[in-house]
Amino acid sequence: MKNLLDTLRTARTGAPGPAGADAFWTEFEHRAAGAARVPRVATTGPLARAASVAGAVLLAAGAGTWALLPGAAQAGIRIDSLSVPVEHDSVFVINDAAGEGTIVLIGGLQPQDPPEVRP
Amino acid sequence: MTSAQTRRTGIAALLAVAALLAWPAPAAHAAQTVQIRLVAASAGAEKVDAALRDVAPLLKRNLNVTQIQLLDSGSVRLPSAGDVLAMKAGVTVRCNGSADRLAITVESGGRVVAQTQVAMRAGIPLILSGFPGSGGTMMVIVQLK
Repeated sequence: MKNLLDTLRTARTGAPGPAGADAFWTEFEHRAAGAARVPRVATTGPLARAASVAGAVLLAAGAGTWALLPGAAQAGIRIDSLSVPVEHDSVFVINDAAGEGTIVLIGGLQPQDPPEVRP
Repeated sequence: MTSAQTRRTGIAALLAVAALLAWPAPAAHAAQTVQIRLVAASAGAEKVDAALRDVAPLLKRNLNVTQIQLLDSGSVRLPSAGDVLAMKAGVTVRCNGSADRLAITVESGGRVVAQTQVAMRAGIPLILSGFPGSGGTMMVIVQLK
């Protein structure tokens, strides 16, 4: 039994080569060399800039819309700080379930002491 | 720069300007007013002042009050540089800042009883309650108009 590799080499040697391939590439190179060189127009710069601006506009519009959508924003009023500088028992912050308001309830706030009466 | 490039750059600039014009103005920059109402509330036979019908359901639902009486009201234009509203029953309310950063100080009987800084939302009331008053609890309702 002949070695497969030897068989292939024999067949390759005997087979006709791709006669048309060399001619094709030679012709192609000649045409490419003879073709007029067109200067490359730098269109990607402005297009990229325009795309960037358009993208930023869309993002900005999207962000604005989200802020305006009901439910996207906080339901109640945002309390950044709160202090009760007089004696008291408790402080409750109630965000209405229906989103109609925010209540700060101070518990145990004592009435101001009445002015001292001297005899 | 070719005419195509000029056209594209012009379109981009127009888009940017349109976006800036369409962008909603922040609440802080618009001239706004906060309405401040001083209210006495208690439990008992139901009685609600007509001027408080907008907040009555909110108060009833969360504070279990049924008698709601308007004692005084006023308004402060924002942004405020520390405007003081002197109200009945010895209550004063000081507002400082703009709607998105509003400092509110409530004094009762000459003493500061509450200080807060809030970001208001148009139409949503902030109720500072629990101040002792004659025959019930007093509360200050701050609402951005």
